[in-house]
Amino acid sequence: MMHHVIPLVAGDSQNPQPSGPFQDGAPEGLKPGSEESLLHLLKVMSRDIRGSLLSMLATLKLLNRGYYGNMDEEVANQTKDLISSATRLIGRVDACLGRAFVVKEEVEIAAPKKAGIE
Amino acid sequence: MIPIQAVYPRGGQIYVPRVLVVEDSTIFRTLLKETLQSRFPSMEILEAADGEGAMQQIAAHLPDLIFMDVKLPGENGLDLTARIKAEHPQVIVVVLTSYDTPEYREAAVKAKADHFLAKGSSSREGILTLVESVLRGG
Repeated sequence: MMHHVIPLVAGDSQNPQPSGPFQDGAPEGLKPGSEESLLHLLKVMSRDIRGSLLSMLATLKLLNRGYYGNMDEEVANQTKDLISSATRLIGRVDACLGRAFVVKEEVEIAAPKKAGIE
Repeated sequence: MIPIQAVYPRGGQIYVPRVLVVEDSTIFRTLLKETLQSRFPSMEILEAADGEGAMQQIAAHLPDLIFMDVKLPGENGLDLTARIKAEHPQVIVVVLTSYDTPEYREAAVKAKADHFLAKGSSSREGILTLVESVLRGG
């Protein structure tokens, strides 16, 4: 009978190479394609998106406060609308990030980490 | 009565509060500076884009309050916070981050940061109230 050892420690030569769209995204110490790995990717993605949205929101706020000069009323209103949209999107990303953490805790409870699984 | 927007009495003397913003993003630095200046026009606001710049500013003009971004080029904001708090425990450090997660909060506490603010989730009024509270010694 053949046994497959799937180490949870990164850098092991026996660790099978991941495949598919996330092949470069498997975090250290996590089995590629596992729930933990996918949740990690979700968190990374959410953080990256949040960072970009925050930059956009910061620029919009500076525009809105007249830091770069005055705007026509119509443009100012558009800017306010965009601020609202960006704020809502950040809220969505926060929810996504928060859920990824909650699920992760459940996964950890269900399957505590071991040095290796035979 | 001295208006809070201008100066703060401390040790029987009047002084202008000094704040250091350590943030590699020009946009965020500008936004925070603009936010602080809108309420505290006489506040002295110093800026640094990385750890080295921050330590130079601290050595030259010790601030009362530091806003510290976590993600910085070179030394990260949390390690920098720990170093600053070890040398200058009286300086209040507010950790700023895009990621309000339990890990980051825990790391901020370990680095001896005094406050934790999440970018995008902290309102302008929230930030200003915190600064007022800190400068009043609260």
